[in-house]
Amino acid sequence: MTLARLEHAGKIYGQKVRTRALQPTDLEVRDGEIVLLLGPSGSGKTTLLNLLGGLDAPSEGRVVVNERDLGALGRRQLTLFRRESIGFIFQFFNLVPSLTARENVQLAAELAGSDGRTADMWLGRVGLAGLEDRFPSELSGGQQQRVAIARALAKRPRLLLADEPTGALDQETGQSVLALLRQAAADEKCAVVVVTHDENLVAFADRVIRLRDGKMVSDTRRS
Amino acid sequence: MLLARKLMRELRMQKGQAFAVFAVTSLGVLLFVASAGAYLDLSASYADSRARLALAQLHVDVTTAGAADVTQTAGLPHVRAVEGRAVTSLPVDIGDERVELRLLSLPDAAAPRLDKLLLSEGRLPEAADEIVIEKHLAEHHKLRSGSTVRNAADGRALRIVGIGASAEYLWVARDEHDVMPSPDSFGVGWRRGHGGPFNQLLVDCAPGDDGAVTAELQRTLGKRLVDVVPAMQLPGVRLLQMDVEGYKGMAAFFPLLFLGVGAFIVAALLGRLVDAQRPLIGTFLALGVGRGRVLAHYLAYALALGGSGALAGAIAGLVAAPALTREYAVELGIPFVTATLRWSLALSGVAVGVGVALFAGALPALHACRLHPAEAMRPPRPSTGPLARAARRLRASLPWRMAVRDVLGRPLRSVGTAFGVAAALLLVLTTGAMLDSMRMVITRLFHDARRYDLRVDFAAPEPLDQVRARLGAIPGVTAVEGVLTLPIALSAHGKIERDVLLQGLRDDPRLLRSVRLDGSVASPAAGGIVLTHAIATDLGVRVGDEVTAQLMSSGASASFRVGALADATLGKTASARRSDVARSFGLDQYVSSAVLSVRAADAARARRAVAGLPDAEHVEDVGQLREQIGAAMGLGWVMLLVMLLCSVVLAAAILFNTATLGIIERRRELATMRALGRTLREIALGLTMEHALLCVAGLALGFPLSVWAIRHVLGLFSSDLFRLPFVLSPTTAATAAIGVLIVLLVAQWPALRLVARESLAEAVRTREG
Repeated sequence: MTLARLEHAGKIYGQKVRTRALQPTDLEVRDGEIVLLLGPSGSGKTTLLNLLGGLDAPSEGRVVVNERDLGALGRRQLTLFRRESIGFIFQFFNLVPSLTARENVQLAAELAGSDGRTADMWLGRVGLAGLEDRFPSELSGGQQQRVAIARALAKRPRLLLADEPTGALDQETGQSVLALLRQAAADEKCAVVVVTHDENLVAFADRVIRLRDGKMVSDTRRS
Repeated sequence: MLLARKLMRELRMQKGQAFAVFAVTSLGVLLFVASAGAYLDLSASYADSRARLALAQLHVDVTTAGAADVTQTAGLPHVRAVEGRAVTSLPVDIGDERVELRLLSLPDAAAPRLDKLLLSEGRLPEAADEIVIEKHLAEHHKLRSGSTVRNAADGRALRIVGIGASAEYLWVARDEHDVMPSPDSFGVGWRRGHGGPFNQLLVDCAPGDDGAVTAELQRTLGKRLVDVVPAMQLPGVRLLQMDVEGYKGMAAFFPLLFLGVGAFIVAALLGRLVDAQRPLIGTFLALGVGRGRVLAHYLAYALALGGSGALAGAIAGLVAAPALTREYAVELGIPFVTATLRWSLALSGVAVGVGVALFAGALPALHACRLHPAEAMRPPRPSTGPLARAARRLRASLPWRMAVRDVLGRPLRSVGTAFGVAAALLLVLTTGAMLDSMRMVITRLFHDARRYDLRVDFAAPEPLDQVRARLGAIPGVTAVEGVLTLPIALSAHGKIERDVLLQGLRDDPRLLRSVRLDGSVASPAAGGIVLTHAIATDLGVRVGDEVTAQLMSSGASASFRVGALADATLGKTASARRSDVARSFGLDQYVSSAVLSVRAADAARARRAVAGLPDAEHVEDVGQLREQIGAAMGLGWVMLLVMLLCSVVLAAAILFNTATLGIIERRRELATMRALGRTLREIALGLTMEHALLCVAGLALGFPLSVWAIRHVLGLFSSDLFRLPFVLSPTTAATAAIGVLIVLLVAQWPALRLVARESLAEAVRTREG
């Protein structure tokens, strides 16, 4: 079943100097799919991800997620929609520095109406049992990213969006993070869209979409 | 060069905050240069006016003196010049008013060489029926050269041939105890002496020779010598000088406040800039940029922010000072005005403004250059101090925990914000308290202490019964209280306080009372005396101590015990029971003054009737006195209100700056929250909690600081003639505190709107720094 789709959605930035970041694109993401958006810097992959997540609005076309046209939603409705349906994982983790690992996860869980006590369970699932009371500054990069993954999953999102989740990590740590994402996707039955420039991550995904210069150049499903 | 370009671009990007610093610093320096310049010019102008009008250094009151005494005094060592004059009082009718006219004699057929007369209209008098009157009297009664007034004693007309002023009466004070008489009851004039005897010698000498010349006068004049008053102790001269000195206090205190606020904003801005640019600083250091250059770069920010404001303020102050001087001089009546462009003061202002900015920026700049490159390129660690650790253990809902940890986890920043709130509160409370204090003094004086409508002083003590009967018979008079008023000198512990007016009041006074500044009545007990705090301090006495009162006229003395201190007075006064004063000085059942209450409808008629009494030397109308004080304070009220407005604007600037910086530097965190699904309203609520906590801390710090500042400022305006009490009404305090809180919370909104409008996609990708 189609969870999210772009219908001829494109993005132009700037008013005086207009930059085409993404050509009008048609794309569908299905339930449970793990999609890799691959391309060099400036290829439009992050732009596409931001459109899917409602962090940005398309300049043309529309974005539909979970049967809801994101363009038709007001700012508050969009925020609530993200709260209920979308999980984000950022390259630089974006954890709240004044909250512990547990509390960063609780923040997301409570927003989504879950019991905040499940935070420890989520942290355990990402391999951080025993580190619940540490602050982000007391964790390594890999551990911080795991906290970010736990935070994203605690909302039980339909769609999990990860922007360069291994960009700040070494290869071994990055691989373990991806494995975690994959397992979580299977367990939670959510679609995962990962943005990366790293060709080594191809094996991780069910489907690889390559972009170059704001245009989708290939869309390959791995068997 | 490149770093300079970086600086200019970044300043342009923070136009709002940079302008705030520019505005506050330039205002502070402008106030400093303008007020200090005006004070220096006013002081110089007043001194120049006294010199050009040849104000005699000593005013020597004698029982009688003649030309021979003048010649003898002129021959004394250190004496530069002497003139004799007669000072008399004449009741004159001006329109419907009976006015006590103090006439000063002029030398025969010549202009005076001492205490000169500055004519603004007309000429000096020649004939016996010609007078020159002082300009305040002329303005009030709309008199011109050619007008006539009538001598009430003999009914003869006196022709006004000129309007003038003298250094002694630029501020018209009747005496130490009646420092603001209404022109409806008292005025000054001049006429020819026509060879008559003198009762005052004007003696000029150098100020340092006062003591030596006074000793010689005591030797040569003997018992004829009544009093020697140095020029600067003349009541009118003293009060005018006090007014001028008041500007000195203003020139120091308010610029200090403004520059302090400017320093705070510079420190906050620069501190946050350094925090935000940590990775950049780490990169510079890693690339090999020297620490000295990094220090200089961030100090240059402070210099650019504060220096530009200081320069603008100094130029504006330089231009404003002469205008301010002229305005004040007109208000004070100083005739010869020197208004100069004080370049050295302007340079000082620039130096002060630049110095304050550099001082404020030094700490963040030093912090920047001391960063370790690797440490700088990592996100700052939350504080691990005791407060932060305590905050981590807090059991509360998540939003409260976040708010408390954000406050306690960044102690320096939080303290800076709290100081900002405290500074805002201090500014508003100080001016608010000054207004409260002045209002309270007026209330105590006219509502609690002087509850009469008219006061009449007789030429000599009179029997109480007769006074009651005569005054009580005047239509409209509803109550009469006799007062035995005697000029005395008080002494204790080897110290003497001269020219004190002892008021003997009835045992249960209702119309004239000694009142403390809290409104309670300080009634003298049997054998007791009530003093002002200033007199008590000068004599070194406390409640329970004994003082000796000596009559200025006869030298008779009596002892009293200090029963209480009361300050709702104008002038140097003390009070005791009338029966005690009468018994001590042999004036049983006599009074020298009376205070009356009068029906409003009959007030004018009653005043004329009382002033028309042949033995009435002086009549005071409390309503007119109140108007006089109101007029004299007019400019003062305006200045205070302007200060209050400036304080409110400054306070708002501090709070807006604080709230804006605090939100903008957390863009990524706030964007992440929104990406996770927190609405703007929820985010705003969290920020409101934080700011509320900081506001409470700031208010807790600000109140004691404000109390200190208020006491200091009020002390600048108090003297032995009147005291401004410390008054901070609950309404003022509550309004200021609530106002600060509201402004701080409202100040969040522009920054929150900025955050709401920006691209979430960009904000979530910004690197922590």
